[in-house]
Parts: sequence; C-alpha cells; structure tokens
Amino acid sequence: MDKIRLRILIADDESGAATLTGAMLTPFKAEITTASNGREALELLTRASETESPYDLLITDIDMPVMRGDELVATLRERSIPIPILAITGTGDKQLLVRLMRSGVTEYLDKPFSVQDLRERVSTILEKVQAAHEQKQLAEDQHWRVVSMKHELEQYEQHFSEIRSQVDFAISTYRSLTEIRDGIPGLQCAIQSLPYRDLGGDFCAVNPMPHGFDFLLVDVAGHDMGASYIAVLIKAFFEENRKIGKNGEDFFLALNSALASNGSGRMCCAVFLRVDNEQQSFEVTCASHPAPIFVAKDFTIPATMVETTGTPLGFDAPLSFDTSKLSFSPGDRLVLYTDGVSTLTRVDGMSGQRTILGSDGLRALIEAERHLPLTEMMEMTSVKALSFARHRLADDLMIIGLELSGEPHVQH
Amino acid sequence: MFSINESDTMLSFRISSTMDLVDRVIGSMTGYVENFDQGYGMNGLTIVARELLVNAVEHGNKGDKQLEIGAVLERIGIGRYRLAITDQGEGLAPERLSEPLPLESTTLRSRGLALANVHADEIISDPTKKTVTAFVTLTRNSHFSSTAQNGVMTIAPQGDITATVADSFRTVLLAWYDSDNPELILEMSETRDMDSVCLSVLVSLCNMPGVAQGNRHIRLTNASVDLVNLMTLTRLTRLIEITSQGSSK
Repeated sequence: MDKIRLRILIADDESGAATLTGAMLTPFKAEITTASNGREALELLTRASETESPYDLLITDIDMPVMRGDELVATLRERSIPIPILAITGTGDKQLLVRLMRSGVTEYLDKPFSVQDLRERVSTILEKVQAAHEQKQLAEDQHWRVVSMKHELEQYEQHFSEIRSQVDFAISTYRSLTEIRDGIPGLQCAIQSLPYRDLGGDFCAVNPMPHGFDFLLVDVAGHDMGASYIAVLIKAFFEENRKIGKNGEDFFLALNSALASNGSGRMCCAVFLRVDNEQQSFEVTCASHPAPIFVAKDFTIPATMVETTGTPLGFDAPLSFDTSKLSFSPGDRLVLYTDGVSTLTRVDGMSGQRTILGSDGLRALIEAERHLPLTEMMEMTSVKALSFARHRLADDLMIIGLELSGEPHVQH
Repeated sequence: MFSINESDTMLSFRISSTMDLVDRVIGSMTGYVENFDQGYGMNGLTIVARELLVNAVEHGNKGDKQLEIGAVLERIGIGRYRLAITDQGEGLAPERLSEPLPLESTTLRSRGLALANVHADEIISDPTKKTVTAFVTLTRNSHFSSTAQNGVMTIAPQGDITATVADSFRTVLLAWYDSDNPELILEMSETRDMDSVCLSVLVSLCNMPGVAQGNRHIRLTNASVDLVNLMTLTRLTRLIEITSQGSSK
C-alpha cells in the first residue's frame, strides 16, 4: 500500500521556532503548515477537518497570544475534531501537564528539546497515524470489493435465473417429447418412462402412415440440454418423414447426415418400426438399439426377440442397418425399450456379484405378464424390472408396448 | 453415550439415540474407510449409513435418548462394506425397503430409506433382530494416467468412464491426438463400464483426420467381456482394435 503524505500543523507564536521545528521534521516528508497562535491553528484545523485531507498531527506551543495551546486543545476536543497532538511545554507546570493529558494530548515535549527527542515523539505518533490511514484505506477497499462482488452476484443471480427458466423450458419440452397426444387408428400404445435426470435424450414418436404407422424410439447419449436438443431435432426430422415416407434404413441414413453435419458428435441409438396394417406385417430397423420383443396374442408362441443389428447414429462413419420384416396377427404386441431397461443391474450384497437384466430377462418378465391387458402388462413389467434392480437406475428407462390391431384406416 | 471399538476388519459403535452422535459415527466411519480404500468416493456409503442411522433414531427408537443404537461397519472386500444397524424398536418391515423414490419433488413422504436403497447394493431387514444390514460398493474416483514410449501412448483409466469424467477423457484423448505418437493403447483393466457419452467421445476421436484414414491407430487392451460386447454391439470394433481381452468384472 502506498504511503500517504501526512500533514502536520505547527502552532507557535515565535515564527523562527516554528520554522526550526518544521525543518527538524524534514525526514518525515510531511506537508508542514505553521500557525502563529491557537485561534489561527483552530481555524486551519476546523476547515481541514471538513475536507478529505485533514491534518494528521498538531504540534502546539502552550504560551501563545490570542489563544493559548491548552485552550486550543480543549476547544478541539469540545468540537470533536480528532487529531493527535504533541504539546511543547516549557514551564514545568505539572498541573498543566495533567490537564493537557486529560484533554487528550497524545505526547508532550519539554523545552528545550533535541532533534532526536522531537523526531522520536513524532515518529511514534505518525506510525500510528499511518497505520490508521492504511487500515481505513483497507476497509474502504474491502467495502468497494464487497459492493462490487454484490453487484456481480446480482448479475449472476439474474443470469442464473434466466438460464434456469431456459432449462425449465427445455425440461418441459423434453417431457412433452414422450407424449403421444393423437390417437393412431389401429394402434394401442402403453408407455412406461422413468427419466434418470430431468433432461435426457430418450423419446418416442409415432407417425400415421397410409397403410399403418411408423414408430420411432431413440436414445440420445447424455442427460443434458445437448441430448434434449438432439432429441427435439430428431423428432422434427421424424415428423417430416411423415410426408416423405422413407423406410427405416433410408430414414436413418438421412438422419445421420443431418446429425453429422450438425456436428454434435452425440451417439444415438434408435429403432424404427413400420407397421403395415393392410399387409399385417411390420419392419424393424435398428441403429445399435436393443432388439424389440414380439409377443404373439397366441400364448402358446413364446415371446421372441426381433433381432436386427445396425450401427449407431451421430457420427460421420460408415453405416449399415439390417431390417427384419415379420407378419403379425391382430392382437399381437411389440415391446420396444431403451438400453436403460435391458442394462438394469442387480447387485448381490454379500458377494458383490452383478446380474444384468438383459433383453432375455426382460422377455421373461413380459412372458409372465402377457396375459394382462396391454397397459397392465407394461405397468407390471416396469414394476418388476425396477424391483429387479432394487430401484437403482443408471440411465433413463423407457419401455413401450404396442398392440397391433391390424385394422386399416383412412388417413385424413 | 458414544462407544467405539475398532478391530482389524470392523468398526463398531454403541450410541444413544441422538442426531449429533449420528454425525460422529459417520465421521468415524469415513476416517476408517479412508484407511483402506483411497481413491474411492464415499458418498454412497455415507448416505446409506446416515439414512439408516437417522431411521433408527427417529422411527426405531422414536427419539428416546435412553435407547441405544448399535452400528457395525465391516470391510468385506476391496471397496465393499457391510453395515449393520441395530435399534431397540419394533424392527423395520422388509417391504418398507422396496419403496421407490417418489418421482414428484412435492411428495412429502419419507425419502430416507428409498435414498439408502438407491445407494446400496442390497439392504436386508431382520425385524426379529431389529437389525438392518446394508451392503455398499464404493465408487471408484475415475482418473486417467498416461505414459508414452516408442511412439505409443498408453492411457490407463482408473475407474469407470462415464459422463461425469467425459471432459477429462476427451482431454487425455486429445493430448494423444496432438502428440507425435502414432499409436494409442487404452488399457482398460481397471474399467468396468463406459457409457454412451464417453463412447461418443471415443468415436469422435476415431473420426478425426489421420485416425479415420488409418494413419494413426487405437487399440483397447484388457477390456472386460462386457466392454467388448458393448464395443461389438455399437460396431466400434470396426474402428478400434481389441486385444488381450480381460475378464468380466
């Protein structure tokens, strides 16, 4: 911290003595002012006290005309003008000394005094003054730091509030992604969804098509706004496909170009289902997604995987997809699920052995509940899957049951 | 009353039913575990211990300070612990342990046991002994160490590679990409899981100039069966060579 140039006022009716005292204080590099009596000193001190640069030390003689030094000291105290005072006394009057000290004189010096005596006294006082100045400066600096930080904090709070409302909007948008509002003729659908975080990238959507419908289930990597953004983008792309009518493979190829050019670098796994009610058949195309499970209405036919393989989406890499085409009978069901379901894991407490539910485990759970109506079957399957993992999630869970009526409809 | 006893394999307590002593027990348990399992996150264990102890104070002993609670923490393997909490109440109904966390944040009912359930491998209640036993596996704090020699940089992740360490994973991979080493070996013997976010990071690296053209090479060694299956399922085996497969962890 820079040293402040201190101000000293010397009050002495003998101008020669005042000048000499001032000269003795040269090493302190202070600003020296002299006054020829107590009243003049009082006026100077009073005026300076009302400014931002009051005097830092008063050195005053006692015997002076107009206003004595002791009167000056007493008046300063009456007016509450705080200033360290060094009184120069020459009379040896002990009562005066006591009175001066009681009036608040900081130090005194008997005449005659040596240069060393004066400098020692002044040095002691000025060190305290300097320290007080530094303390005050520090307090002011801290005050302004606090003010500045408070201002910054207010700005952060405002930004946070804005970001929070954006995130809230993103969360509500993401949640609405899994809502299938419009009924699709020829389709009964039951969705069980348990998000791992408020934001994520699991979503499903359905498009009515001339001969049936297309269904898309996507799992975008991550549980953040980026994942939800990609999910929204894919959903828009899928809705556009309602007009274009690309099949699963072509849709994934086109989607991958859009994702790769978007530069997200997010891996997306997806399954595209096209149901043709007229032909009573369906096609499943997978992009590195768990195989759907086909549950025939005929209980004697075991639930089976619709095995297809394919590369994940989202990267500028060679792609390949297989498509499985199967026929169905009215009342047959398909269960689609994200890998958050098939990777549900149960840990044995004592051994630490981990058992993954897997697609086969899920198929077994469905097998046990397939006699129930679709919605109940999906609810019970979901409850049992969660119970298997003792409610420990590592990813979003989305499991969808579709019951295929095989009833053709006229698209409006 | 606060009594603590430590042996080679376990730490046991007897305490009065007060919340401040619960804090002391948790503090002592944390110090005990740190002696054995450094580099592991203890958040799950402390949540389980706290929720079960609080449940014993509030519901088991119904806040009666005259009643005691016993707690035993036993190390049963690397990063694995068994925690047994005994109170003098009526015993905890086992079905209470299967209650899931409420989905709605406004739900008022207790979350404590469900929270413990989420963080424990398994929790068993024996009402006749008035004891609840929890098994907890600590999570390894993931970090990445790397060495380079003769044009090969080896990156050895310590712990699982999931979204929480995706930025660090990306940084070490880019450090290899920016280096002069033509080959990268990912030494996976200490990694059990890699999630799709980090798979995305890995694939992004594979698609970068020089790597995609095969001028620079990436190998995965000592990957667990699960990891290899994951790489196969996602067809990353076309981009990354897998050598010396490890055991399933």
